[in-house]
Amino acid sequence: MSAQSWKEELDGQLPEELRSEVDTFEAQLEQKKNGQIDDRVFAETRLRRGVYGQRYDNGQRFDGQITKRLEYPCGELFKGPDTYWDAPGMQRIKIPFGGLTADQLEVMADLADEYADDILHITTRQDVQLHFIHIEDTPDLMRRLASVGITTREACGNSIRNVTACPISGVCRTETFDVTPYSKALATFMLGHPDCQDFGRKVKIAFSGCAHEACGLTSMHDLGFIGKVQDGKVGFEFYVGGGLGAVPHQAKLFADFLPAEEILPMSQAVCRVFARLGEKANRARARVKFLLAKLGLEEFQRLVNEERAILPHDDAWTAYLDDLGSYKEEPLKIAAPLNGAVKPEGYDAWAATNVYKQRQEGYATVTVSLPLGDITSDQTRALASLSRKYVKDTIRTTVEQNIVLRWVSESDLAQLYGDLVVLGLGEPGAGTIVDVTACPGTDTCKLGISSSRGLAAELRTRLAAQSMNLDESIKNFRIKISGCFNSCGQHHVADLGFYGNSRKVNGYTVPHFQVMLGGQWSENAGSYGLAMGAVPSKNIPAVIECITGNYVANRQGNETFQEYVKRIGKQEVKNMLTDLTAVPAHDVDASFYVDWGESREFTVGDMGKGECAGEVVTLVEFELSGCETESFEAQLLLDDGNYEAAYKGAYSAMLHAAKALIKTQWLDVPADPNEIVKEFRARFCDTELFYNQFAGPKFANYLFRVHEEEIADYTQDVAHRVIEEGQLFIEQAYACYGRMNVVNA
Amino acid sequence: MNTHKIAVKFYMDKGQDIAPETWFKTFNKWISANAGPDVLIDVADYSHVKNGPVTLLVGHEYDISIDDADGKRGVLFKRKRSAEGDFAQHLSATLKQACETCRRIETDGDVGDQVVFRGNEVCVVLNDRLNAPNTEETLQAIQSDLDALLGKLYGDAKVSISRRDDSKARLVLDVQAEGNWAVDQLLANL
Repeated sequence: MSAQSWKEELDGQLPEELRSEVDTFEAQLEQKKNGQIDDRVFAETRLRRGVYGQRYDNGQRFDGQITKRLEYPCGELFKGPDTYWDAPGMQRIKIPFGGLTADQLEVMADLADEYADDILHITTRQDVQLHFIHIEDTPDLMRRLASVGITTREACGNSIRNVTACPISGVCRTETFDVTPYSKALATFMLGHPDCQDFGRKVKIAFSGCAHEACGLTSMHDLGFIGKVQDGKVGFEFYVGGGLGAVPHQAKLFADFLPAEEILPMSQAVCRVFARLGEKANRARARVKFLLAKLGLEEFQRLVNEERAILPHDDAWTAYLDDLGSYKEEPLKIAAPLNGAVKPEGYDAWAATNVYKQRQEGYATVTVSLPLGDITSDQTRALASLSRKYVKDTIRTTVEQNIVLRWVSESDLAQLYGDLVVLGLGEPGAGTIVDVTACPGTDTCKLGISSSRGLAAELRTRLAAQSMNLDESIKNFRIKISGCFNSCGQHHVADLGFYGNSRKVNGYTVPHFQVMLGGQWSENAGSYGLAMGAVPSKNIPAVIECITGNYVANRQGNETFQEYVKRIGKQEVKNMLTDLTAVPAHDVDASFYVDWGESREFTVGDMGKGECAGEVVTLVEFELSGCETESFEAQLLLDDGNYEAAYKGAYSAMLHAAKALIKTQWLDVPADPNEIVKEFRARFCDTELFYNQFAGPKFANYLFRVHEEEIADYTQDVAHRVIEEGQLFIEQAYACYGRMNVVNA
Repeated sequence: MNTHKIAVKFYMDKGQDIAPETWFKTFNKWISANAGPDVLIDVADYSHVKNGPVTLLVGHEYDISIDDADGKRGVLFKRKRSAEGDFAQHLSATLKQACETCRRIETDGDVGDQVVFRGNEVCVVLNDRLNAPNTEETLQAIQSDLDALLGKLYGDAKVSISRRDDSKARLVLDVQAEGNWAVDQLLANL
């Protein structure tokens, strides 16, 4: 008997838009296999579905002595430049504001079992990542996610990434108001928005309920919103142009108060300006922060306000506001204190760090500490069951790579702790020096230089063993580690931050970490740390001992670590570390030449071209590729005997190709087919821009005819003819765009 | 019923205390020395999570892990990519590859003398909730293939099969045979 497919199984059960997205992606996979999509275009296509390459996808790996070929069976089939088809990859799953239900957790656990390596990884942007996935499994994986309302759309690539928000918004004791529904509305509005499809790189957005806590980390985002009430009106302080990476920028205050009804259109206006004026060719400078620096805040504001003024009205800007009242989390249990409940061993230490007393009397938010952000599929399923026992779908991921359960009745805390311990999820230390954050680094990322996870695991083990004896002044330090300067581990905003690099020593390449001190996690990532110099990876634990020891011994009064670092100065810190920068000769101590969590001698030869930045594919190229997919799907419908749908699909592909060309001149081209055809005729036919050298207006006429003709009987011949014409029309659109580029160049 | 997504786990009688770093090193050595038909790609360390894949050797056709799921250490052989054949062939091939993996470990230069697998106990997982849901019907559908294979594996020894009863989990079968069985003997029988 042949196997069932998830496509059949879930037929009719998925939201139409999500179903269509996944079907299209599946068709694009087929096209790629048939050589019908360019590697570069396909790379950006899959990245925008969250399908990422991983280390060793270029078919080679250093084994500690020499670099060897990995002979993937796919031959010369690639899923992007230098990325082999069969190389296992990562699937990023976007979780807006980190909000999850028990059902969603269960489905992701099942996916980790069946397509990945039994592990779910929580990222520093509240996403979930699954690793070692084969690309051909991704459409089914996406369908199963869609069945519980999750899309992976725009999880990577040059797009609006996951919109993050404070994980305790709505239950926080100090927030101005709950920012959750606003973050959700903006995430929904921006998803697939036409104005967000032509960026040079990604855009990150965050929401925070108050200015003084860390939670939303708005200062390090391209767009940051901090809840504010002014004259009784709900709105936000609006920040732009923040970001970490190799060149960190603090966000600038764009508007002291932006009314709630303005956050969607104003974000749209920023995106338009960024898409129009942001860098495209040089990806290292293609973020909003660089555009802002280039233009200056005043000019940036002027351009955005000007754009805002001419935006065509969209009802969606404010529609969600009418619905705000319907957004409400509910507890499962009644509020009650823990009075008299038996506390299991370890409870008090756990409660001191992992339980947050909510502003709602009698309820608490519990942090489930995940070492390195990892949780097994079995643990995830069990946690989903546990959540059903104690809360009502009030689960969130955090940027510190943990999971929180909100609305736990205080009377349940001891029992919940006992249940978590059984699952191996009862570790204390959330939000303390033990709770080390790390990006994937050399484990799976192509850009990783040093082993951020290896170092994090080592530090976590050492610090957990000492945690009871650590001085109070350092217990709540944040340690954050990135595998390279790109800052996915958010090292700039940690008390003790580290990012991977390497140094040549006596002919050997030695793994190092740059030491960054004094970054500020609070006040929404209020300031960034200072670089103090590179230290061999194997000496980083000693660096931590040295720095924290000196701080504990020499701090003045209640001096914070940031103040201490500033007071003693960079030179003094460097002096402290001098001895630790030395690397013993290879024959004296070879362990310095092997990174944490590794058994092979260190190399940077395994690095590859990063995919974080996506591929620079113009909006027109991208949309024309989508038209080819539509045309391909029309062909499949024709083969299935569905002639009417095939005809309409081919017509739609032609319309979209025409629209893509119009967008080069007019971004706001309406969706109405009559308008598209009218504009296309005026801009590309009357001007002869679309004319073929030999055939003149022939291909344009294909569109005009099919637009006007009325079909009484959709026969195979008619459908076949329109598909053929549609393909020629798209070819001509590519040619026309190519000519335009030559002229513009 | 047909699925190629099958996993087989053999438990350790000896070697449970070998450190994850040792397994990490061993699997890296396997990648380096690999001369087999499949592509071995990478090793992942998950020793920081409880009851999961402690150390994972990632391949193209299959993954191999030192596995602590269900609280008992063993080696899990998990087939991922499709292969030609029917379910009986997939099951037989996976079981054989799992046995070969165990033998490779037992004869490995670094860990071989410290590890012994318990051949009379095997866990079979159908890693495919759609085509092989965890139901009595699925078990009935594969029973004859399973019986035939286990008959070949254990001869006349009495064998018990029990299905773990958790509707949300995959179909997991715990197989127990009478007597002591070494991996070499199982391989000879296959």
